[in-house]
Amino acid sequence: MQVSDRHLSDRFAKRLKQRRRADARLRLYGMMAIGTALFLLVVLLGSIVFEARTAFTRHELQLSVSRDDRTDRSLTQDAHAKLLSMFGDPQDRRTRQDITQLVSALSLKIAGTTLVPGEVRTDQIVLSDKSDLYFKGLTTRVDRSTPVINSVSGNVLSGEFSDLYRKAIRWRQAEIDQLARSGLRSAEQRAEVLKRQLDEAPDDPDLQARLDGERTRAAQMRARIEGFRSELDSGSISLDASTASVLVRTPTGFQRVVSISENRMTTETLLENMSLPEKAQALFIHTPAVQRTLSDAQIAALEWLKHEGLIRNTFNTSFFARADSSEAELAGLLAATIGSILIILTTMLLAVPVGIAAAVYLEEFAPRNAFTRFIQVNINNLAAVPSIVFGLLGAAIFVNGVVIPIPFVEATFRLGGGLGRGWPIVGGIVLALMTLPTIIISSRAALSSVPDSIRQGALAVGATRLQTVHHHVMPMAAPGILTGSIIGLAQALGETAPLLLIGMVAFIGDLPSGVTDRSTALPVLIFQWSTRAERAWEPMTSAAIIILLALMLILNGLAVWLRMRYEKR
Amino acid sequence: MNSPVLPSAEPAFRGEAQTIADPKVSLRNVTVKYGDVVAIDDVTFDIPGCAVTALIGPSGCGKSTFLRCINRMNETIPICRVTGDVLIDGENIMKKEVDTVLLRARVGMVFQQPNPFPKTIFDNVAYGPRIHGLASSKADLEEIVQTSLQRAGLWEEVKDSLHRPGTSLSGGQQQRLVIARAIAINPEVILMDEPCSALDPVATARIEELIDDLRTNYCIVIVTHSMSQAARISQYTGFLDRGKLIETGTTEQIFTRPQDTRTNDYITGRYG
Repeated sequence: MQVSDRHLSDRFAKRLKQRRRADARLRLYGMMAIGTALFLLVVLLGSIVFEARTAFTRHELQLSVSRDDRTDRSLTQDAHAKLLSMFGDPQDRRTRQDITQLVSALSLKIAGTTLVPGEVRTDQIVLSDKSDLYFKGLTTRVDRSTPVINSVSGNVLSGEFSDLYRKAIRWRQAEIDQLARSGLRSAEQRAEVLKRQLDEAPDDPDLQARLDGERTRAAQMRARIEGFRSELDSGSISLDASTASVLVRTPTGFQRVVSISENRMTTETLLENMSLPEKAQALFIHTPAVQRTLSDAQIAALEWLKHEGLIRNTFNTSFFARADSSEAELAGLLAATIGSILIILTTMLLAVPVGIAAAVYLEEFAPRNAFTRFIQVNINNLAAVPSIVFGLLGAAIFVNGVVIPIPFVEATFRLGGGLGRGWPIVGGIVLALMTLPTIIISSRAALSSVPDSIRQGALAVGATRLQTVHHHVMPMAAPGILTGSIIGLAQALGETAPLLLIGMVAFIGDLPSGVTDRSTALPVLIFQWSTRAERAWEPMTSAAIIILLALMLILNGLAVWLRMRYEKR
Repeated sequence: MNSPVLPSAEPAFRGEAQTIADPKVSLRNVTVKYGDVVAIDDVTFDIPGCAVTALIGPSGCGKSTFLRCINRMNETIPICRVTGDVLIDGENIMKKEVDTVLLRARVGMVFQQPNPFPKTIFDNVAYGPRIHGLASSKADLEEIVQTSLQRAGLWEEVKDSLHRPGTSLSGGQQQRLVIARAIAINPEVILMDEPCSALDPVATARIEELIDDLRTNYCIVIVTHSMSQAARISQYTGFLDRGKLIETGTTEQIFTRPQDTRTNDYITGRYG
């Protein structure tokens, strides 16, 4: 090929290089965008799955308990009595309470009342959510060690404890650092600022009071840090509810360490009159007792049950088989899943046929005039309406009804209303209204992407308009219509706000019996669980999110499958 | 091909006032407007049966619009307004009571771009007979499909693959397939809108051969950009310019002794 001089000039070469660089840059930006999106997706899914991992199992206690109607002894009473006797029947009220609270009270109550009368037995007792979290490692970090105990005299243990002692020192040091770094320094900084303000306005009594307060606080902290430091120097550290706990398992029971040095521990008895292995064990519990949901005695009791092999980690059946509950160990998402399915079925039956019919009419039959343009603009606008507005509409029209006063007569007329709060059918109708614009817009796009030559060809062989649409246009647009509809439905499945407004916010403890029964939905349940305070709800919330995502994936997978099936033809 | 089938009477093809005896299709003072734009301006034209009539003219002169008057396809365009009369066998098809479905069963159409349905070859050809109920049995339908494909000269190539998608054929084959689709409903008139413009010379030659074969049974109206094609396959020619019918006559006459200077300029390549 002959290359002309013009194409060999420096300017041409320079320009070519620039163009190539611009290409490369664009490709890089694209890859960066995709990389960022993928990274965020992985982080999001990863954190949800990581958080949820513990929710699918639960810990149960192997213990045969029974309800005896002759002696009028309930299942709960029997369980508590048997549990206490395992720990040498402690007399201290506090300790007894601690032990009986290890198992789920509600679960025992339900088992005791729902099983057939007579002698009701059960061998598996569900642990309370707090005990369960301990075994899942979510309550506190625990280090186990085997200290050498040389002699025991009363509450004083002698032996080789340097390992535990060093741990306690490290823990204390970390606390001192924390106090000095955040608490003390910020108090000093605040005092500094107040001082400067006071210099400008020396007569402000309020500023003076605040400055005094900050100074006192800083002095207190300094004193505490000083106390801790001198304690560290003294060679012995005292432990209490506000510090890390050290529990020691001796052959007769569990003890809590109140002060520790290299070779001496002073202790306090937690559980006694039990038979335990000769070899002692020490637990270093990093979270202070005041900051955790289990007391030292409860941890000791759980450790013993575990040691005895009475704790079993099993599949969390309640999570999939039960409705919501106030107790995390018994709460499940079956009711919400059924509710969501009922809602989505209603939405599908309403929105898909109406949406497709509207799209076909607007795209294939309607004249192009000002009126249809007006309709089209408004459908586009409806798609942008916040979903909560649809919730308000639904609540007003379907649940409460619109009260219209009749003129000249002292009476009112109620338009609409009559449907119950929180019924799946109301949710379905509201979500159908919300989804309709999405379905109409995507269906219209799919219809208009069918080449006009197909319509012309069909009309030219004498097909009617309906035949043209039905035989040729619809089959070609079907993948797009289906994808749009299913994406609309998936969106509806994850919608929360409108459902809250039509009264799905209430606590529902039973499974819904139909579309006209109070119900809840998965996203609403996730919202409710996420607002509950206990730690146990966090993994439950994430697990529920996973179930919702799985439902969505199934729906979207269906869309992809349908699309591929239709496109093959 | 070069022996035009002339009507018995001496042709009086000259300007717009020409008439031929016993025309198959007649347009009387047809005007087509797209909104305010006049696409066809008061055209009167007779088209004989069992012959190929070519419409030539520069781009945008209204050839396709003219063609689409004959099967009322212009009605599918919302802003298009057609006035005047179109007669087929003396019957005015512009009347409101004329059913377009029936009309289009009588007047088939082949488009510029081959547009087979995304269905099998068999279903493409069988579609028309099916919707019109032309076949009494399955065997009958199969026979219609076979005959149509044979007449379209496609049978030998596709007889073993009737259930492959029509879109999998080559461009030339697709065009013959839609011709088969058009003749499967047994029309009287076939309209062809630049049927060869998307095809290579070999496929074009095949289609031209096919058109020449079909002329013994059908009234064919073809729009073409190619002067040589018009000269090769048509017996009658009409020259359109800016919506006006400038000159009509036998192809021989138009190409050898044009009456109008614009026609002369156009066919000699000095215009258009």
